[in-house]
Amino acid sequence: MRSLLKKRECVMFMMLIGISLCITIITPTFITPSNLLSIVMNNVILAIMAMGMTLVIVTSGIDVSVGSQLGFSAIFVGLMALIPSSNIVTVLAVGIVCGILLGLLNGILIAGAEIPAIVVSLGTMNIFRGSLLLYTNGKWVTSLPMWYTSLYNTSVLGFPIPILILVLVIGLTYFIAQHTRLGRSIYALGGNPAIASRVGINTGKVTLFVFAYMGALTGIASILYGAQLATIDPNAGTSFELMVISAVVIGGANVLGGSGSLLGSLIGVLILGVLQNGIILMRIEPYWQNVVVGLILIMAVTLDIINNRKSEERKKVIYVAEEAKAGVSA
Amino acid sequence: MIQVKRSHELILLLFFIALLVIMRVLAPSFLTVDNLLSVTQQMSEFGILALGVTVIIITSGIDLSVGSIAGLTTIVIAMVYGLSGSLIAAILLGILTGALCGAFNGVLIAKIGVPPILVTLGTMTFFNGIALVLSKGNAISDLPEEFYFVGQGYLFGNIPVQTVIFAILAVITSLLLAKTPWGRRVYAVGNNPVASVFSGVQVDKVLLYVYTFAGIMAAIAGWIISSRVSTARADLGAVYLMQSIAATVLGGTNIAGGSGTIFGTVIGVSVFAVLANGLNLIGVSPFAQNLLMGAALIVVLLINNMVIIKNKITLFIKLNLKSCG
Repeated sequence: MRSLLKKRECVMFMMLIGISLCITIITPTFITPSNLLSIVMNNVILAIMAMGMTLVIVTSGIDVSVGSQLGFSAIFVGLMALIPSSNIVTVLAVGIVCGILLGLLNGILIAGAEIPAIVVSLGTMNIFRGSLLLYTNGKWVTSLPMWYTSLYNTSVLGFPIPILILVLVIGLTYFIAQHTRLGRSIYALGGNPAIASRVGINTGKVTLFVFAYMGALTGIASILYGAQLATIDPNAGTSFELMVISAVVIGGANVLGGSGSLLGSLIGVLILGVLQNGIILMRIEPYWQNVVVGLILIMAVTLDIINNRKSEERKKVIYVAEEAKAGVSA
Repeated sequence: MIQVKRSHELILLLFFIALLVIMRVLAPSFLTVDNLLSVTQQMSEFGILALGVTVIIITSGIDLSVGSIAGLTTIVIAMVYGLSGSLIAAILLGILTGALCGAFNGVLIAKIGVPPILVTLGTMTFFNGIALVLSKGNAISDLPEEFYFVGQGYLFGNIPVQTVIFAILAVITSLLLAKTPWGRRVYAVGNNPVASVFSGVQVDKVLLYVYTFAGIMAAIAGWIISSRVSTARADLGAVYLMQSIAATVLGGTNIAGGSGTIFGTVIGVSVFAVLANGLNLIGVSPFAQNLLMGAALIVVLLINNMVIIKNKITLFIKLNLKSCG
């Protein structure tokens, strides 16, 4: 199982390298350090949210309300930043608390009322966006203070703050997923919910955590969102959820649950980011972007299934044994 | 199973009637023939999308690409008309495009076995990309006068044409599901694909037809939308995607597959349309409509799952009392 997962990431990594090479050959400016940095900087928000989404998808859930959550938190972060006495700590607190509350609402409905995750988040997507638009009356939050907007460009110890935050988020998520009981429970729940609850995992609590964590990360992302754009539109983040889900899926997470790696999702984010950047650099009409992204998505998931089937046929017996082993160890 | 389904439709119907009464009280002009007809006009576009989505969700699938297919259809119709000057050829090719897009989804899902949500997530972006490339991101609006009939015309004095089309398609879909072997196979595949294979159902064929059917419905919806707004644009169908899935689920179709009716979906679609229209008449901000539609979906499902919630709460209280005592 381990080697299989590694293989999947390897394939996607090769694809990333291949795409980058093609772009470099056509426009050498692609490979300059400043351009590479800008690709990372432009996709920090996507990467942070993809970390949370990976865990959600590993539990076989899905959250299509994250775009609305992003807009919701961003507006309240912006309103907080406008209060003269506010500082980084209060802004951070507002963003994270806002995100956690929205995520918890999803989690409670999914775990408590046993409504499927996609349906709950479809509903809450509209509820969050609707209440946000109602509250702001469609008005943008503008004239944000300097100390807040400069957050995005300030460097600490030579690293821009967004990248530091991203590294922290990746580290924390990796720690949770790989080195805690909770992380194992997350993978176990996605692998087989019935067995997970038989071995004593409180599946409701795990679901709650995963969605609340997704919300918290969205809250953190929303702080960077406002700082990056300096004005916040109440429609911010509309259909961003599809970008996040696409990145995670390209990275190899299985929507049926049980597998998916953070590294894979990061590669997925980079593939999307590199494509977006490359299409602009190569002066291709931007309309082609959706065609390419769509094709890559379709190819990635189709190849995945074909590969899985092949390896399944090759070692059917071993597969079953390994699956059982993975279920115990995860 | 059947009892559960019926109780859901009953709850929804009561909810719908209550909604009508509330709207009547708050906005006296709501319950007039003219207004009700305009409600049906507003609901038919995404209602037609929802018909296809319903059939797909019954097979335990999902289709995120229907909005993009509708958008692509509008572009194809406008471009073919621009090139050939024949409206009939344009519309036929548009619907053929929808069918092909649906079949493309169907092949990947049925023959290769990729989960529907992944395939359609990809094709949603892909079809939208094709529409953007074809139209270069522009709106096309040089369409002939006759084209507007479907989206803006009336039959028998004051019945909107699209309402009639929606009604006919709803009846056809309902009959297909309830009265034909194909319909029974659709439910069988959704209930238990393995058992259906062993009972001789060709699951891949059923799925292929189901996705093609949804593609055709999306194409018809796209045709009507572009006729109503007199333009063709790649993103025309996108707003209806989430609405049509939400309306289907609201109508009692189980997202895990196996159950659901067109009747339920039509009520689900009506609830959304009545909410939008009624709130408009009362003068509520359009922003609140979004909120209330989301809330309606969650509330109806909460009522539906009341038994589960009750059990959980009693279990929780029991456990806590035990630990106290």
